[in-house]
Amino acid sequence: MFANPVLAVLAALTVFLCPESIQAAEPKNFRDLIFASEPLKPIDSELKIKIGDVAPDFILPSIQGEKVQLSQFRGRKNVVLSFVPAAWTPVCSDQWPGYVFARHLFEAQEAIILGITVDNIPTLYAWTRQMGEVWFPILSDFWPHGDVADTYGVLRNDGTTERALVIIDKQGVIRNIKVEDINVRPPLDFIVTSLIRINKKKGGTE
Amino acid sequence: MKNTTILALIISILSFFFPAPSNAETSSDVEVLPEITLTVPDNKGYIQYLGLKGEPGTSFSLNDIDADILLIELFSMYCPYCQNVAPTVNELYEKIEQTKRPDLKLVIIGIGANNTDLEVDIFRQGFDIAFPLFSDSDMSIYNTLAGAGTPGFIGCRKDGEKSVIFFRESGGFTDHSQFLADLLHRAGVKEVDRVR
Repeated sequence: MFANPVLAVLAALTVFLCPESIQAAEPKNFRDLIFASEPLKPIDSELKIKIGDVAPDFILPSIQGEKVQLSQFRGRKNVVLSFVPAAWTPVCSDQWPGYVFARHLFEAQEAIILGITVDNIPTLYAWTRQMGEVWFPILSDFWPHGDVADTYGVLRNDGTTERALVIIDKQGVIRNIKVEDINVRPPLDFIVTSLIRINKKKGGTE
Repeated sequence: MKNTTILALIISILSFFFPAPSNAETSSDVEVLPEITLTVPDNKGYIQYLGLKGEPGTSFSLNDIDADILLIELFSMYCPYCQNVAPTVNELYEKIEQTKRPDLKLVIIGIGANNTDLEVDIFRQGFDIAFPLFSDSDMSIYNTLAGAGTPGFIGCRKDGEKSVIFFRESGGFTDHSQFLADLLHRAGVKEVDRVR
């Protein structure tokens, strides 16, 4: 193949020193798969709910295989609706893993999280594989596209949702709302203090 | 192409990828630990571990920490990789504490990037972390340290009145002994089996 031995050495060096030129670079880990977006308009929708309203009911499919209805938790659990803009995006990809880790805090406040995006089930399934043991339902508001998000007033003009938290008590009443700058992860403190306030009031200490 | 030309090409390729080693560390190679202030914690054990003289609630500089080598872990409670490596970092801390030596003090602290006090506490309690953790909710410390993702590890050593950064690693590790050996080797510590 190489009549000239020097050329053979040169070719071998090229392969040794520049392996990426002959091998497709593969992602080293999950982070390499995340789409690096530019900062977005912080908020791009108008809320259609307010504190004190009965939370609009909905039924959505989950990656766990069952359909989940908000009202099924009535009388049993406080509910934290966590809308995140989209799968495979930077801030969203480390928001729910924190909720997975802090499970004991939610359970201590008799609360369940319902994680919602407008992605379809296969996308959500693939995306949440790296989040550990996801103990709360991950719901797809894919079709009719963003219907639940629109009902709550957190559907952005580009078809994604706001990064929003809606805290609902066991009676199904909205007790707190936070529509965060889409580029920023809301602090866990908001959820915890909201839930503690609900449970204190229930006990008559507030 | 003549063989001499090809050989010259090979040599230039090799010299590009394997530059001649430099024996002298130039001043431009030295990265000084930037001025970063934190609040003296309430925990007396932490104050003693860090060798701080100020009262709880007052501020101190990272450079005030009584350590020949300071290892800073950049983490986030939300980061699954930080969660995965936390037990191994605990093993590293235990190894350091079990192999102390009087002439070399190695201290670890954690900085919770974009984490509130509550989020840092959840991480601390979740993994039973014994070394001090501090919150950095606005990421000002992370940015000042030029963090490059979490988990990240930054090693500093005293150099006169200042501290210099000699070690930067991003991502987790699986072998705490190897990590410690690498850290001490890059710090220029010859005897790597014991620290104070």
